[in-house]
Amino acid sequence: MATVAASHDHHHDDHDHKPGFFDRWIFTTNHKDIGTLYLGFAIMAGLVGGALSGFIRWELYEPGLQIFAKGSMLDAMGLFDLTNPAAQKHAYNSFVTAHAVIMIFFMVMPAMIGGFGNWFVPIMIGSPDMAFPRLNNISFWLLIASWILLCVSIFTPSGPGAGQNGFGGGWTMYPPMSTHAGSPGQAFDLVILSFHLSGASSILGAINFITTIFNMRAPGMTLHRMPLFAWSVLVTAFLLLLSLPVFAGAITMLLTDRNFNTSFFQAAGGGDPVMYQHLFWFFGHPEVYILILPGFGIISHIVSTFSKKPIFGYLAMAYAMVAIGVVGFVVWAHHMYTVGMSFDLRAYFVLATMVIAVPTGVKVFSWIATMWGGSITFSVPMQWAIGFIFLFTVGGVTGVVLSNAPIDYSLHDTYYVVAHFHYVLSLGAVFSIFAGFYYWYEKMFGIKYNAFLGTAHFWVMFVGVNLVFFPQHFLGLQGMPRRYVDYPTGFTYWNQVSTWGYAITLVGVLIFLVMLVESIVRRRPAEANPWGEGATTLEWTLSSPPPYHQFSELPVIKEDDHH
Amino acid sequence: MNKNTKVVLWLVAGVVFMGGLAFASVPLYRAFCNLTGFDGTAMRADKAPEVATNVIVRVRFDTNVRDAPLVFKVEKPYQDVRIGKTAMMYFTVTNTADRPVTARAVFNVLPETMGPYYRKLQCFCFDDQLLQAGESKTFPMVYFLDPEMLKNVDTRKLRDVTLSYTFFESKEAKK
Repeated sequence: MATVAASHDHHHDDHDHKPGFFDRWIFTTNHKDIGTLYLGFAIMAGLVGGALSGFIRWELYEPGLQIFAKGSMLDAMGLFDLTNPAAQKHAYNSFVTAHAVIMIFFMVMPAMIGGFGNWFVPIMIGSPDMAFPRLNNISFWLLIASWILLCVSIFTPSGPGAGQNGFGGGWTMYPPMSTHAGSPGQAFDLVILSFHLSGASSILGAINFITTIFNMRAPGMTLHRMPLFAWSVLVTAFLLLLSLPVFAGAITMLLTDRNFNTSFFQAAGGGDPVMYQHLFWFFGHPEVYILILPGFGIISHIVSTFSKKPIFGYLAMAYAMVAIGVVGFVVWAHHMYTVGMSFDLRAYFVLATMVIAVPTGVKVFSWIATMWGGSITFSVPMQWAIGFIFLFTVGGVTGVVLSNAPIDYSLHDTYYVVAHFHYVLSLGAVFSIFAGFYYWYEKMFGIKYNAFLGTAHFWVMFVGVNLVFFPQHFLGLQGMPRRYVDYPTGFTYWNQVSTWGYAITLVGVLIFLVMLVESIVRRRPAEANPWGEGATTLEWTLSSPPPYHQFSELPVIKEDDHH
Repeated sequence: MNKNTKVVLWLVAGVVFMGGLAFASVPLYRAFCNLTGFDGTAMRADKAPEVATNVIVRVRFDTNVRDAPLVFKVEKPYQDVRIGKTAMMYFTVTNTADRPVTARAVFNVLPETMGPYYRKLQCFCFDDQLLQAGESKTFPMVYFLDPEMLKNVDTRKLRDVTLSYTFFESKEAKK
């Protein structure tokens, strides 16, 4: 990454005039304010999604129905109809679905792309703001509208039976569960419209990022000198741009199948439900890289900063992300090995899927090579980053296991898959978000956090999430299927361990909230660059928090001797 | 045109193209399945192969009706045929309603990999069928198993194939 040759920080107080509350937070076009809004939204959505998973784990603590049952604490809340057994099971499925959708579309994506992307991409490339500031504001409020539709859908009848509220067909929404036959109620129509809005929000955001990165880099900031986080957001934006329209098309076809008597996916009219799976995963697979790529960028910055070394293999790191993005578009059917594809087709998807392990391996080894021989500081963000590398690699290894079609035949839709994608997302992506949050917290908000609380948060969370998800590998290998409210008694032991892990994770989240409150109450003023000589990107040349409008004189980037 | 507009136009074109591709995939996928027999799409054929083999395969028949006032039966539940030899099976559909019903049979072969090798010379499933109130019709279905199946690693060991039909009331006719 290029170091800053000339840093011009000539802002004056009169340049730093901020508008009033409504103008600032509702109509804002400032990339930093919008980033803050996204981060706040993501924290809120993460707490909701985490609470939903709490009910799932609580229910799975024992065989039989305890929480999704009459007279339970959940029943006492009065929000969900748990009067008949079918409605109880449906409520569990709708919780699982809502948990997935909220965590993917309303927690990870807003935090990484909307939050850190908005905050730091313009600063890192030496730009005063995004290319289209008003579009940026629209992206954020479309996401809020999408969120409201999703929340309404949870309390809307879905059916087919009485009292079955909220869509329960999983985030993959396969027909016939998502067509009129499986979910005749209005809930799923609201989910489709919610996805349309969040998709529009993300596409507009992607257009904004790509235009900003292509056209608004500071003098001398060539693409090959651009920091890796900006690279990661650029690749992510292209993935969003090319995959989301296909998803929008697929769910629009579901919408017309449900409401306008078409038969895209209904066998009754000559349609093919398997085609939905192809369309969905053509989006869905790039989507999982959308969730993790910005995390790769964040981790590269942190590892480099706290090893006091430039990142090892900068160009290989950038192009590994491009390669992951490109290959990510041609591996989708490894999610559907069991639909009855021919041998040759399965062989191709196995091979293509395994190829992705190569650029991913380049990234993991380059992070390790960056740390190798470095002067490492185990600060809070560095702990999270190293935790990320470990957990993501574990998830990656089980991914290579699952990429084998013959093994997937027996592990398909078991808890092994659940453990795999939670290791790369719930532990990988979320740890990279926390790493970024602790890395940039002082920069963004101008106050210091308590490093002890940050460290405690890391260790408690690290133990907790591993305890939640590692036993799920065992459950999956023993054949426990996902998305069921109940299980045979033989699976009890590891399910209980998993639920205890959730309790520990919950303590970790509480420490996080305490950390936030403590830092806000104490208001210790932050330094411009708390991390020292290792922090070389442009955001560390600005004050903490950065001036409301930065770079009234553009920084000039010169080639440096690092690469 | 300023440089931002130029980039945005390219990006919007990308979005429109990918969105269009999603919808274009419907006819493309159907054409692809019909052409290759992918996903258990049984194929149409114009003439039978000249030589039959001695390998015998059991062909099972499965008949279903969904959301239509019909009774749909097959003469025999299964038939043992030699690969490459043309065979015939009779299916009977009865309209139990007191109104004419236009229906169409949707078909699928299991395992799906047999799709390209289950070839039909004559089938009632190629067209909509009109049944008057109370009428009963018997249709022959003429087919053969393509000897090429013995060359494919997916299908060469299969000795048990199921052809499934489901009768639906035609949507166009219902309106």
